[in-house]
Amino acid sequence: MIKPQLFFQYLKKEGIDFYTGVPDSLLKDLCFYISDYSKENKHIIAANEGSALSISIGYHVATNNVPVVYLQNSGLGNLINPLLSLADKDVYSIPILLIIGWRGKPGVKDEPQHKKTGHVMLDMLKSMKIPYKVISKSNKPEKIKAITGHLINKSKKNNSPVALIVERDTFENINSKL
Amino acid sequence: MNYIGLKDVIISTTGFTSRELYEYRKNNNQDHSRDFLTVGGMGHANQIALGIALYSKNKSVYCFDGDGSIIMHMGSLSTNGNIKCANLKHIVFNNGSHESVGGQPTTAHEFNIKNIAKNMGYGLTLSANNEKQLKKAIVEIKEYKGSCFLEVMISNGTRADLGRPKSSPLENKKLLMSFLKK
Repeated sequence: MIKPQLFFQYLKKEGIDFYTGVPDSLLKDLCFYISDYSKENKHIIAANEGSALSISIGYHVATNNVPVVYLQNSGLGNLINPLLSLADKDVYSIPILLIIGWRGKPGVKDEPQHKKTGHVMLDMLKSMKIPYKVISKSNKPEKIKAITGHLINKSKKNNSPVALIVERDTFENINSKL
Repeated sequence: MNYIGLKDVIISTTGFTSRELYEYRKNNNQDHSRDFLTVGGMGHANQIALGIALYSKNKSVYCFDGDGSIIMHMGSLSTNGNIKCANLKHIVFNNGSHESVGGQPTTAHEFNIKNIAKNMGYGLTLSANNEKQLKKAIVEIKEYKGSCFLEVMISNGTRADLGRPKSSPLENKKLLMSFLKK
C-alpha cells in the first residue's frame, strides 16, 4: 500500500508529471491527488482510453518526456488501436507508463462485466509484448517505488509502452479537495 | 498550404491525407520535419495534435483530419473544445466518405460537423465550400487566438499515382521532435 502523494512525488522525481486517462474506481485516490496537485494542462481526463494514449503521444513528441496514461482494464479495448498502430516499437516507438486498475482479478469477487477482462488481461499484455508488473496492497511503498522505477527504466530504454497493474486498495484513501 | 507558416507543424490523419501531404512536401522541395504523418490509429490524429500543441506554444499546430475520423472518435472534439488550446487549428476535409479504403460513404453529409464543433466548445468554427471561402477562412483561423475548427467540403478523387512515404514512421517522429525543440 502506498499514499497517492508518495507515488506522485516519486514519479515527479523520475521526471514524470504529465497524466491523461479515464478515471477508474481502483485508481480513485491516485486520480484525486493528480487532479488536485497537477499544474494546468498536466492532467487531462480524456474522452476514452485511446484518446488519452494519443494525447500522450503528442506530449512525448513535443517534450521527449514519459507520460502516464491511466485507465481501468475494461478500457483496454479502446486503448489497443493506437497502442499497437502508433505507440508500438514497430511504429513510432513511444515510451509511456500505463497505469491500469485490475478489476475482475481471478479469485476476487467482482461484477460480471469485469470477469473476462480481468481473467485475460495479463495474457493480452503478453501477446502485445507490453512489459508489465503488478502492485498490490501487500507491497510496501519502497517495493512499489522499486517496481515502478524498474518499469520506467525499461520504457525509456526500449522507447516503448510499459504497464503497471494495480490491484484493489493499493493506493491509500485520501480526502480530495474536489 | 501557402498560408501555413514555415514554423508551423501539421499532424495529418491516416490514409490519403498523410500521403498527399508527404507528396506535397516532396514536390515543393520541402523536408518532412514539420509533419506528423499519423500512419494508423484512425480518429486519433487530433489528440496527438492537442498533446503537441499544448507543449509547443511558440508554434501553430494544424491538424488535417477527415470526416470518418471525426465520426469515429467524436468525443475528442469535447476535449479540444474544453481545453481551448490557442495554437491548435483543426481542419477537417469532408468528402462524406472513407476514400482511402475505397470511397464507401460516411454519415458526415447527414449532419453539420461545424455546429457540433461549435457546441463542443471550439471558439471559432467555419466551413468552406469553394476556393474563395477557403482562402478567407484559412486567414481567419491563422490569425485567431483560440481553439478553431474549419470544415473544408471536398469532392472525392485522388491521383492514381499518389505515392507512399519513403521514410519510416520512426524517422518521421525523430525529425519532428528535433524541429519542435527549436
